[in-house]
Formats: sequence, C-alpha cells, structure tokens
Amino acid sequence: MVAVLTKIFGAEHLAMAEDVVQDTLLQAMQVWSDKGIPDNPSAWLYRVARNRAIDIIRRNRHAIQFDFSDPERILLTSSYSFTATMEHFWQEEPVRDDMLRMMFACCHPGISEENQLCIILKTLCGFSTAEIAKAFLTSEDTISKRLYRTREFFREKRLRLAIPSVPEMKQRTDAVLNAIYLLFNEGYNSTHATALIRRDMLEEAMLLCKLLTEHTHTQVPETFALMALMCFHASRTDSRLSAEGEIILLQDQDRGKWDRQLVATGNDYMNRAASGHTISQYHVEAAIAYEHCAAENYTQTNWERILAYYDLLCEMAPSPVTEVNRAVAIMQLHGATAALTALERITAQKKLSSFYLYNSLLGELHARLRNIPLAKKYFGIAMTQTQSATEQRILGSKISALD
Amino acid sequence: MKDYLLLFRGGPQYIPSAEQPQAPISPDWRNWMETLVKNGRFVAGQRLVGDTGAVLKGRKTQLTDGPYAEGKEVVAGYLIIKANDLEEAAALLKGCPIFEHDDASTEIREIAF
Repeated sequence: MVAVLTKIFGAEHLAMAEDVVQDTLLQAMQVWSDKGIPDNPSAWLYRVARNRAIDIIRRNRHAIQFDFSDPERILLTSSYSFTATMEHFWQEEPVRDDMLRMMFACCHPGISEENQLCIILKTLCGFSTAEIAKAFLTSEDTISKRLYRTREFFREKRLRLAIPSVPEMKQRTDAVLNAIYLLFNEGYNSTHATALIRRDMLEEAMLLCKLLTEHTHTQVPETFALMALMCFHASRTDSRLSAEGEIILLQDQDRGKWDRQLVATGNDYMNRAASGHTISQYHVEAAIAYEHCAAENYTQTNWERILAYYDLLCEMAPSPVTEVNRAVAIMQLHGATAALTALERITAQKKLSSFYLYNSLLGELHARLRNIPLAKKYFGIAMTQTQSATEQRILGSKISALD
Repeated sequence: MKDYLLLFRGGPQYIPSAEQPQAPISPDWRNWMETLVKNGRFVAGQRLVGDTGAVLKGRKTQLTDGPYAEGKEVVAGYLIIKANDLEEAAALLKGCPIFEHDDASTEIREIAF
C-alpha cells in the first residue's frame, strides 16, 4: 500500500504515504471493532486509502509541491482523467510493479545497507518502528533516525520510483538481491533478537524475492538461485529449534521435520537458475544447501562435494565466513588437524578473531583433539561474542561437556 | 510546437455532489489523454462545474446569472495541448471522447506566445 501511495505522491512524500496507511489502519480498527470485519478486508483498506489519497491531492494540489511532471502522475492534475488515473494506480498488476519499484528505490546505492533493510521492513513489509527496533536490538529512536535519513535522501534526490533502465539493471538487481538475502539471514539467524529465528522476516524475504522471480526485468539466474537457496534453508526451520526454543545443530535435527515440499520448490527454482551462463554466489550457496537437504542423515552428507563448492565459493567471493565454513567441511572429510591447518592459513586473522563462529569452531576442533584448556578458552571467547541467548546456552553446554 | 486551447462545449455536465465530489466521467478520457501525455502533447486542462456560474457584462459590469441559454453552448471544460499547427491539433482531437455526445463541439484556438 505504501508503494502505491508513494507512486501517487512521489518518493519525496514518503512520510505522507506512510501517514495515509497509518490513518487507514486506525480507521479500520475503529470501524471494524464497531461493525465487524468486512467481507473483503483488503479491498476495504484499499478503498479507504485511495479515498484519503484523493482528498490529499485535491486539498494540497497547490499548497504542496507534488512533482506532476512524471508522465504517470500528470494525469492526476486534470479532472478529466483524475478518477480513472487514481483507479489505475490501485489495480493489482501495477501494484505488484509498484512494490518492485519501491524495492529498487529502497536499495538505491546511496543508502547504506542497514538503512535499506529498515526502510524495506517499514514500507514493504509493514513492520512498525518498534518491531524493527526489536529485530535489530536497538532503540526506536535509532530506527526513527535511520528512516528519517532515508526519507530525506528520497526527498533530496527526488527519487523517481522506477524500474531501472537496462544498463543499470544488473547492478541494481544485485543490490536488491543482497538486501533480500540480508533480510533472510537476519530472520534465519537473528544476530540480535532473543528469538533465534524470525519467521516473519524469512517469509517477507521470500515473498519479495518471489516478486522478482515473477517480473520479466528481474528474472535473472541470480534471482532464481537466491530463491532456491532460501527455500532450502527455510525447509529446515521447523527442525532447528527445540520446543524450549533451543537451537538444534544440523547433525541432531529431525530430518523428518524438513519441509520436503519446500525443498522440491527450491529444486524447481534451481533448475530455472541454471539457465544462462552465470554462476553467482547464490548458485553455489544454494548447491551447498541442497547437498544438506538431499542427505538422508548427517553421516551420509556428501562432504566431498560440499568442500568442492566451498573451494569455488572462496575463489568467487573470498570472505572469512566462507573460509570458516570451508574448514568445517574439511573437518568432516579430513579431520580436525587438517581443518586447523586450513584455519591458520586464512589471512584475515584479525578480522576473524572477532567472529564468534570462528572461535566456536576453534573450540570444537580443539575439543576433538582433546586439547581441553584450549577448547574451553575458544568456546569462552565465542560466548562473549554472540548476543544471542540461545547460542550462548549451546556454547555453555559444550564447555560443561568437556569436563 | 505551439499551444492550443481546446474549448469543449456541450456533453454531460460536471455536477459534483457530496457523495461524488469527483463527478463521474468515462475512463475513455484517461485513455485518450494518456496518449497525449505519451506523445508529449498534454499541457493542462480541467472540467468546469456545470450548473453554476455568472456573467459580468459591459461597462456597467452588470452581473447576470450564467451561463447561457442552451446546454450545448455551455463551456464544459478546456484542455491545453501542444501541436505543430491547427491541422495537427484537430487530428489529435479526433479521438476525444467528447464526440460520443451528439450535442458536443470543440473549438480549437491557438494560444498567443
């Protein structure tokens, strides 16, 4: 809804669009609690929001500087075409495109990744400022400031909500995919929140990506690969947490709980991702995730293939995180000593040492080699590095298991 | 490219009410105008409210109720478009939905400047 309204008012009036949505929801709460929920709630909401938009344009046409030079908006200036144009803005097909346009605007290279996520959650996923603050374990104030900065950016740059031109498309789509993946990761493994998995964020990320897969301009192999990757990861959601909300490690997960339907969907996307000649990071990561999904049990995991994928990934997009994951595969294939050697070879040691998974893996390796004091030391460091209560509990239980 | 004023006379009157502040109009108008916009020909234009008005006349600026005797003579609205010449302006006007009404007519005038 915000996406449509932003197109009507122009991106420089994003706050106005958000106000309309807020007012609409308030009105819904009042009217619905009075008269009951209407037959078609979403149509009701759209109608109210549309009428409010009509009011605002009519009242403020001259007072507020709407940029009517946009060819799509200029027809709002004439009473001959106003009503029909307003209707046109609210039709289903354009609405889907509007979300896409909004996504591109939110992922403008001039906006930092953090701020991109905030504005996406706010305008496209309908999160409240408080919810976003909770998700990032920060104050509402901070989030408000971030949103404010992004809106200012929209205003200053007079951003037009548009699907980028062909030469820009690739780069801009990459930015959108990156934001979606960040959103998904945040939901999959909340770095901050007390809940380790945020299903709502997983779902929103997948929904947004699905939109991209349905639009001709953004149907690139990377999009399908990311979609496949998210399907494979998400298929395990139910088995990743115990009833008490404790994380269950991959080797201990009940594979019967894995969502086979979602794995199959992921496979479909994977096949579509295979068209063309591009192999992206998402392709390789999806392939790794698929190997895990395909293994009947942990011991049957094809670590050889997974290690090969990690080798490829380290070449394509070297990152300390990938190196650490690669070391896990080495540990499975060649044992703890080989994995330790691999870890020592990583150049960015300093950056790594502040990374809790790295220390936790070091702890694990030393535990396997029965270097108890070292194992305890690294598990201890890792514990101080994660803010997630659940992960701290796991590390704690690993330390006590050493005694 | 020059600006032309299209002065619409006749056709259904624009009479807004409390329930319908934007008195209904056929979506054909939007479709036709969208073509003008796409070709860079649209400048501006509005409907005029049909059932009220006044006329101030002569040196004495005498005020009379307006507008006029017959509905088909009442100006119902205007549009300003861009065209190379009068002929092209007329050609652009051809698809206009106003002509679905038998009593409608449109005057085309070049705008000075």
